[in-house]
Amino acid sequence: MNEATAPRARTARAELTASRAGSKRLEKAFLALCLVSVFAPLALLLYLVGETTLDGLGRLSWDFLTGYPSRKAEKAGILPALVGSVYLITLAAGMALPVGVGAAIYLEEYGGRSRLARLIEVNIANLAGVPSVIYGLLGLGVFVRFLGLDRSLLAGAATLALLVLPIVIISSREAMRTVQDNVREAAYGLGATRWQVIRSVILPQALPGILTGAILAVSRAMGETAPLIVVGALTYMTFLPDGPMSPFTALPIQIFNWVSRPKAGFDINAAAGITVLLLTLLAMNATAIWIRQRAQRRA
Amino acid sequence: MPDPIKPVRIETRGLRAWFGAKEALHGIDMVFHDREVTAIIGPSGCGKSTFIRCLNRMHELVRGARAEGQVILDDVDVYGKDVDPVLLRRKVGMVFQKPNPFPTMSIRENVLSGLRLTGRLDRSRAEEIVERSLRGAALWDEVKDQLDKGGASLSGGQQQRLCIARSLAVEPEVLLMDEPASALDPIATARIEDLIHELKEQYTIAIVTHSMQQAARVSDRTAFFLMGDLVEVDDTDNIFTSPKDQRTEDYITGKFG
Repeated sequence: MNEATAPRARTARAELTASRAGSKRLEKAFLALCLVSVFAPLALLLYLVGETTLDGLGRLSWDFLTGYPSRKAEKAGILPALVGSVYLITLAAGMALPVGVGAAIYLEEYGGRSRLARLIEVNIANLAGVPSVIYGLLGLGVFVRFLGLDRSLLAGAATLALLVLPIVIISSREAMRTVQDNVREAAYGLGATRWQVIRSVILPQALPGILTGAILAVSRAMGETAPLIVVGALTYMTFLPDGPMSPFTALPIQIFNWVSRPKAGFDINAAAGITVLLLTLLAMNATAIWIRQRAQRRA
Repeated sequence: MPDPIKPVRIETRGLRAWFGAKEALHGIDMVFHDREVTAIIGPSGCGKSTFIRCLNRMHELVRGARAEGQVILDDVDVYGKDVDPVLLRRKVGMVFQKPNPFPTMSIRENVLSGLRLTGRLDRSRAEEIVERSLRGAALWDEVKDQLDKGGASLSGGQQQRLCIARSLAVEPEVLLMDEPASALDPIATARIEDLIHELKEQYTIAIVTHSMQQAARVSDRTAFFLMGDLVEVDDTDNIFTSPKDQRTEDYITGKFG
């Protein structure tokens, strides 16, 4: 080191080794805060699920899954509710997914920036926040009474479909928006029509995102109780629904019914019912995630 | 010795283009000769990309964009009322600045995508088309054993040649290239330039480029654009050795841009 550079080296050393203890402490505190935000709710949730599962484990058996409701807690089963829920969700998803994705395609690819498109957009965002019981009243008015579907599976499923439609539309639009413009251009440049671009380029790329929306929608529909009660689901059903026009009950309603009974033993049934509900939900979501993984592997 | 003059393939007459209220092209009159490479140079924002995007009516896909004037391709005005832009784009293909293979498709599917998208794929000829297009884009030898791999798994230069192969598969007659090498390294760029030399045996090519060296290397004729106007178009040699317009000279000698 010669004399000319010595002073510069000294200041450089001072600058590069200055204590940053204060900002480091802040960083650590922030990290801790973030960790707490992740793990505190997670722990709470785990405790809840664990506690419920433990409570219900004793009742969880093949007989419980294939049994019908009973006045005696230990004889009661959950089959009509389970079948009803699966029916409901399948029907609701079957209605909400095509309509929702179709609406998203219109808004994202055809609607442009027109006043109408913007009006629709704002309203969809608002609809996502409407309390579910309102949807129940709407379903009662439109599907049960006006369309004469009566208190049927179809009326319940249509109500649930309406309820989750905003979720499907919003998440599908988000998914389509992630498809890059230069990929769209490539397809147009090859002489594809708008529909061909949407079907073969945009939808395949948006599929994982659309399925994420479907998972959210199904999970939401699965747990809804209020709109189904308003629409007229049965609370005590000793037979299985035999078609879309059949009366029905659903898991959350059965659980609600058991929870509100004063007699001992039914609380255990409720816990077992919740476990069944969670497992069904898990199975359905796992299917969607599996499809999503397959779609993404190609990407 | 210059080549004999080739017949005119595309002619623009008073071509103007807008993005919303902003006019990006102020009436361009220019010709492209058959089986020649025409380079379009000029500083950023001069309208050169917009210009070639008007030639296959890609410009109007941008929200709020429109064009006016005539683009005559083989005696037909492509802006005529009865011309379907979708059919035009099958005849006038395009290669973009950023390589943009379809990410959900394999190499093979990418090459065939143009035909498959538009429902014109003859399955019995698929293998032949894949090989011919990839050979045409000088990519066959590198990918022939991995045709089922994702198109996005290739390197940038390979992806761009895949995009060229994809354009060739629909058998266009004119190829528009919008800065096809600007996202590539020098070696990949050289390969693309060699390829352009081979392609002009069969295709009429228009290439937009930022690089004057590239224009000098690959093109027969060069057009210089400035602020939405065509300043000068001539044989490439003339443009770079004895430009007629002072602005062209300033640009190619690096006084601005």
